[in-house]
Amino acid sequence: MFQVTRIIPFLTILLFSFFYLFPETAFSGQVSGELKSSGGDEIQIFLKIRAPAPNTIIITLHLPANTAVVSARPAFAKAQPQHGEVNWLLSRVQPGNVKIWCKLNKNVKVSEIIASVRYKNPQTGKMEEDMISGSE
Amino acid sequence: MNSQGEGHKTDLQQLPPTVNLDGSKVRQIRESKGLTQLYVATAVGVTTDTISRWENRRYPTVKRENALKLAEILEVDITEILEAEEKPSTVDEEASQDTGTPTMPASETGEAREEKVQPGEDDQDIAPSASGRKLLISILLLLIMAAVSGGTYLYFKPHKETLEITASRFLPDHSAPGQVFPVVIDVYVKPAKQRTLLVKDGDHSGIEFLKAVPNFTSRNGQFVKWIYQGDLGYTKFIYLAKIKKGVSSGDLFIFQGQVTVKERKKHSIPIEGNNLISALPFSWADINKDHVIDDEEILEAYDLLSGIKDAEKTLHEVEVLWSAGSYRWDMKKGKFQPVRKTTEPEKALKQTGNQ
Repeated sequence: MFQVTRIIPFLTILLFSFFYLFPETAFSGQVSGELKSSGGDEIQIFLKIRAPAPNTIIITLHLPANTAVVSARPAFAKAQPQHGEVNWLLSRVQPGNVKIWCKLNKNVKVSEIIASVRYKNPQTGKMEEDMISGSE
Repeated sequence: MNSQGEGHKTDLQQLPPTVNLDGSKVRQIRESKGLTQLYVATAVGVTTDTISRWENRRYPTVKRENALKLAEILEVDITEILEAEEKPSTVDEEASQDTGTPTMPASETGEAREEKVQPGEDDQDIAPSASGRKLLISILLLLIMAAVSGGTYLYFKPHKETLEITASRFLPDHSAPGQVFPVVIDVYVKPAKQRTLLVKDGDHSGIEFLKAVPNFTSRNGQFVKWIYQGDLGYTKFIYLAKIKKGVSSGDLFIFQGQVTVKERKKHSIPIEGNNLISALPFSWADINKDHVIDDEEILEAYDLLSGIKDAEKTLHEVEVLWSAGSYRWDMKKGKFQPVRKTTEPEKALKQTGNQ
């Protein structure tokens, strides 16, 4: 009788080999991120930058109506409250992890926030925009 | 006979160990004297086949002793049955047998050995003469020398490298008079190695050249020039310039440039890419000229100039316009003014947010 468990090691090796040979297929882009709530009115954005790193990235937060950022580290570069939009411009980015912390003027669920990151992919020379997923 | 014997003694000292007989002469003398091959063979101590072979070949090579015996039996002087211009043979029949060379066996030594004669014994018939062999060896040596010389030349000859140069210029489509804009020249030289590069770029008039990375080697009112030495492969030349104040809106300025690589002789190519810039009331980074620096435009500007210290101010000016959301051209002041569409409470909020 065919046992599925027998092919698991084989499949694992195959999968690792595939991602090792074609690393670009393992991830959607050079930057991936996660939006987390550290309690009530504070949120954090964790970004993972892969090599070759894009030169500059723009992180955008779309907040619910009447919500604004009251404090942020690093400081945001652009705010358009009429659109509920806040942007960070990070230049000379290096491969690794980047963390952005910000405090809002009221409690907001992560699921109510839309976050994205834009950059010029150094491998393709094309502009890319990746969504940043959220978790409470 | 005695005189001949004396003659033979003299010949014995003069002749080489092997001699070439004149086969036809041997046959002629033998037949004129009415001697049979069997008789001659018995007298010399060889087989009739051997005698037949000697006679049928033009100049068979035989041992000196056998030749002398043959001459004695035929009652002639040895010189009469030798090849007209006798030359010592370089191949000894018996020696060739010893080395296993498939040549004629030394049948002259007797019947017992004659029986060992193999079908290939007549190979010596087609063997070249001594002079022919020398010629063959000479040709062979010449061929080997030619091959060695050719190989050495091919190995050591300088490889012909195809020099590949490309040069492209980034020049904004437009810029406002008095506002700084960047020009980036990418030069790619292949194969990459230590070379001297001359880059010249500019406009005939109306442009003021400011700073460059690497520094200009020279500049005047019309051109900038770099003489750059290094391990060339991909090299980037960036300079900041501005359209002189006082020009009319819409005025066009044509950039011309060339890259020269010195390697034995000069290789010059023109710099490709945009070569026109017009004086317009838009930021150089505002590609679509909508008075808004959007995300893509600011990313392009950073991608072009980030890390260039002398361009930080220019980049910051663009960032301010991006951050504001839109901008307008202040003709009186001759500079861009950010236009923010935010309310006063929102401004206050932003200020507290960046504390």
